Amino acid sequence: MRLLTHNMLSSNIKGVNNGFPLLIEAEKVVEKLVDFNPDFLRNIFPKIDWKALVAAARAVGYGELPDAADPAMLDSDDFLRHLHHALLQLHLEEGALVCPETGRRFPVNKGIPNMLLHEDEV
Amino acid sequence: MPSKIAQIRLVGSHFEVYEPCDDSFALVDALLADLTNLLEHKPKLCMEVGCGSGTGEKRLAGLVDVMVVNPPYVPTPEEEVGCDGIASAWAGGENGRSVIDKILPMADKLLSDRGWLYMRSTEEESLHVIKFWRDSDRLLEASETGTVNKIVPTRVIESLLSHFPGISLRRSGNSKSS
Repeated sequence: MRLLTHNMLSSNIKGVNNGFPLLIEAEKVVEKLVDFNPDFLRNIFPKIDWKALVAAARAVGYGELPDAADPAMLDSDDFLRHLHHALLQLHLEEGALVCPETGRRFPVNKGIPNMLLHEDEV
Repeated sequence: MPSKIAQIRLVGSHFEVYEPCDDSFALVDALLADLTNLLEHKPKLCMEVGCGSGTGEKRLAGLVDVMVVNPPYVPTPEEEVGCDGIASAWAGGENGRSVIDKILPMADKLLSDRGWLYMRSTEEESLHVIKFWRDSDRLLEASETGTVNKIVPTRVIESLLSHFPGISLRRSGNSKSS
């Protein structure tokens, strides 16, 4: 699971008001190389929740992203490379996503998060 | 007279899942038929909604530019909707609309101002893909290929207009187009 995916997921348990961002418990993180595409990064940037991405990157051991980001940074090649790596190349392979409100763990196995809810959570 | 039983081929990876057939291809055909518009639209965030998508409705509200949905639409007893078994893949409830009626308001929240929704549906046994967009999205008026041959069902959410553009195609009739 890429951190880009993590940035779009939230806990949908019934009664939870703020299920985003999910905390990351990382057991195994892998890197998979992806072609560098600056246009994609510039397009996706406005849709990214930056704070959540920074926290997620740090949770998987990547500290190269600045605490705050603004669109002007998209002109910097360094910044784009770091963003590229964090969003697309780092994968949470094994571990869990944790609901920030309830602490419910959503397991991640073989890179696939299981967000399915139990009957009493719907 | 010997009885005939329809044979449905299953995929190798799962004993209950059948191979993609007309209804799945209709969605692909519709997207291909609308390819030029889609490319011009330059969507930034696309989403495919399937069974059990754990999507963050709040997180993505107003951000999705293109959404593709193949909802379960077969009329079934209501209790089969969302059940644990394979039936949830097709069970659409009493009138086949249970899931669709939940998806439409969700799509309304998720789609951006210029967002498009493509949804599979059945209309008198034929395969249709319906494309929805917001009233405010003027870009679509440029697409003249679309012939509106159906009055908007009033039950769809107010801010979305339902049209049947040139993309309402039966799989069988589409091989020669484009």
